[in-house]
Amino acid sequence: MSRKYSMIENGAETSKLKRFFQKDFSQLIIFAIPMIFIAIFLLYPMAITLIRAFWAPAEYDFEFTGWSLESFRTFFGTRIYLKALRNSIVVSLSVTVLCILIGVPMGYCVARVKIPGKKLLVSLGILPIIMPSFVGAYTWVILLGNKGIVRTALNFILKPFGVTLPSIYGMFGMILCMTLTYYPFVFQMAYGAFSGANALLEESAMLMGAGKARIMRTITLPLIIPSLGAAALLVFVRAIGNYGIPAVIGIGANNYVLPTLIKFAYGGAGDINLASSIAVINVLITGLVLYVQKYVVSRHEYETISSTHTDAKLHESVGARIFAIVFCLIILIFSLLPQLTIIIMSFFTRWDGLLPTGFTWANYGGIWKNSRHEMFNSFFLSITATLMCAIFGSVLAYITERKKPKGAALLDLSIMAPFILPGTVVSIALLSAFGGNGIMKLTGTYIILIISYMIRRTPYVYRSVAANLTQLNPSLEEASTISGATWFYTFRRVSVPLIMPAIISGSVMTLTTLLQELSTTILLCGVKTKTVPIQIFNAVNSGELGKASALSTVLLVVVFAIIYTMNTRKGTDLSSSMKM
Amino acid sequence: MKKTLAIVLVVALAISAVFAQGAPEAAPAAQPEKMELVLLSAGKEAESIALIEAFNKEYPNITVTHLEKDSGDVLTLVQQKSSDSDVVLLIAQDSLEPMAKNLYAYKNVNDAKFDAAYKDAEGRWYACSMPLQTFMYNTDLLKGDDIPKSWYDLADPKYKGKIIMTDPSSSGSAYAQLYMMYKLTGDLSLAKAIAQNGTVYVTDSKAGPQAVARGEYALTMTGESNVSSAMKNGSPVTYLYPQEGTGRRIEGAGIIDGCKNLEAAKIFMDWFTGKGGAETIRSLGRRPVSTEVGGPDFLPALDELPFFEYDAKEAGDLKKQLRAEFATFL
Repeated sequence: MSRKYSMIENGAETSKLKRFFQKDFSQLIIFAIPMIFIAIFLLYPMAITLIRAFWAPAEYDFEFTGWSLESFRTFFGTRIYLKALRNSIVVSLSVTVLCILIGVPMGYCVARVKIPGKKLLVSLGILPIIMPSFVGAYTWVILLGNKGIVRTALNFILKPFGVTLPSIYGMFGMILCMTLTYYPFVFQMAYGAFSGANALLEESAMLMGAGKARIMRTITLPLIIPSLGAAALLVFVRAIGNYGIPAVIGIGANNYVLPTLIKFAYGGAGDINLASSIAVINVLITGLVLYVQKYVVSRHEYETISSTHTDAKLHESVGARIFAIVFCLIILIFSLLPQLTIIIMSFFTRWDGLLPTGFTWANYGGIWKNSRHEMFNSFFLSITATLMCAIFGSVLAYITERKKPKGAALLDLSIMAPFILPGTVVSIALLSAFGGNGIMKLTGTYIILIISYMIRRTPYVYRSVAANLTQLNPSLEEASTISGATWFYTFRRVSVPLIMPAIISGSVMTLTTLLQELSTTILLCGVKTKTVPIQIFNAVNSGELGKASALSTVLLVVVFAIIYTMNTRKGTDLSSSMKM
Repeated sequence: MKKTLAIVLVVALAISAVFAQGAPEAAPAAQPEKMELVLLSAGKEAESIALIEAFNKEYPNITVTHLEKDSGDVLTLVQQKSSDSDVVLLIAQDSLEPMAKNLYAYKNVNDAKFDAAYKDAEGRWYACSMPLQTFMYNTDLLKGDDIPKSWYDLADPKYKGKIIMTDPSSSGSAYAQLYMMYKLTGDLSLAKAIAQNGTVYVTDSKAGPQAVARGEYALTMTGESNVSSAMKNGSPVTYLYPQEGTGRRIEGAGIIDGCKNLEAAKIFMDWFTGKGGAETIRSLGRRPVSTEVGGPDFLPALDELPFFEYDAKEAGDLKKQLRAEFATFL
């Protein structure tokens, strides 16, 4: 009796085990790899930052001396800190609004008006973002400073009207420079949205007798609100994190911003715990903006259901065409002046006063000799990290979008956190976790740079693919599953080909921004892993603007080549990597 | 299923392959005379290259590589024991002192030549040069009587809106300037008067010298090596040491504790603290502490310069208080 009982029990056990092994775990494993990666390389260092914010101040040291709210008290009890907080919000919001005011009409012009050279316009229209920080800030001084060539010229033209341009040093200059740097995010997004929107709705409205203004207000603009929200958030995040422009032209306490304070805490006082608290405040503000953005967009989410898709009708009237061309060219020329400046500067030794002096080829001559290794590192690191981001980002997006696991919102925020956090803070967190005092020593290796690039740039591919998946009907995937394909087979043969354009556009965004990454590289790179932006930074620091410009020009040309090739290929759209 | 597993394995292998790339390299060759050395400098890239060239003339057997970072980043790396370098150099005293506990105590062959103020008592660091602070002005914009002579001139209304300075909260040398003003008057009244004279404060310490070279602003205060390099570059600028004097500050070098190439690092320190090192430092436009060689090109000799007392320890102790007080003037 007892024997029989135990036999039955054994049998049950065997079949349970059998079933356990028969289950398809590939899905779990595929999910587990990115999750483990996130836990080790993202959540753990981020937790260190969050905890440090509540540590007692530590001057020039990293050891724990006790819990304290001292850092937050310092922040909220000091006038210039509060002023900087206010400035950061004012600057970032103004830049966001101005970018929308410039980027949306420009996107509309390129997408909906019949003008020549659209692909070139779109490719050129992303270049203002492609500029190593600091180099950008110094070129704005060369252009618009007290002795700046463009300011002098404009003031000469405006003199008869009794107008003088204000000095670039200060709030006005910061907002202007950041707007001209970051509007491409909105432009690219708006262009994508306007050219992608189904024209059927607009045509129906027109047939029903709606006027042009009414169509614009009730149909065209609401349709692009989700994309616009995404671009606005991206501009806000980049503007609130920008250190280079405020460091060079943001003068005095009236113009300090949050990244300035992080520099004070970290570079000036050596207090990493205070820097962490400021970063936490920075993340809270951005988190709030992210929340507001999601709320606004969710109230305006439309799904267009239609069996046919027609391309939008282009405006062909002469007036519209002339206006569109003139408007786009003015914006493009102004915003590309810094790029033009570094190209000119790269052939000269210095640019004191109005014009550059001391023509030379030497800035380029030294590149092969002194930067060969750095060029290799830059491309090796950026390409490897981009490939990893592409795999990692698309799998993560697939998990959150299709499987909708519990805590998806938290996952979403953790993936976004390193994107929001200032680079210095991310790299210090990684250093605490993986430096000589951490759990494993990775400093000075390629790995730590690739990891830091991955956790900071995955949002591009992640957002791009997630946005694409929401527009993709899951019926194809379901059909594949019903026909007996495994989950992974379906993912590989059905989903991936469908989301490929999104992966590619996200990857291009990743690659181009990684090629000029400075803020994390500067702390984490070792003697064997130096990159080109590090050399550019060193050259700027040594006052060798010519050398810095030559190196920047090489990067610029490569990036433009990549983007132009992308844009001339059909089906890939840079703007989809910016959808939030 | 098998296919899936295979793919998972391939992914895992690919990841491990990437990880393997960063693993420490194989042990150096058995030949004892071939050595390696890594320098971590807060100076300029060109300075590291020049130092290595000069060092290799005497020690061609040591392959030296170099890395440049802000002194704040150098401090972070050393304190976090996260550096892959052997020697830190051109680091100001206010950063050298807090990191001394993570530097290796080595009394080099030139130890006796160094004044007690110019070295760590245990030999953890040695001074190499002086980042003296001086006025730097644009010679096209300021001429004759307009050239300032004294610290107090900076508060003169005729310079209103013409001065660009680095915020003392942002950099060590800018704080040193603030401390000097404090030493001069016993309080921050002068610093306050200068701040309220329309003076512009920036966060990036290179922005001031750049702006004066371009003629954006007429006058700044900066480390003298920035002036000599701008003059060498042909920019219309020159230096002027305020008549009350300037503070005697130092910057130096040390071996990182637990570094990979200790023997090579010792050889380097022996050379760097000697005449060869001082000569190279001088050729870079920096001012060596060694009296065996003269001052840098374009700049006056040490004995021509007026000095006043600069107490590095007191400067460190007062840092938080003075910076906080100064912040209220902005």
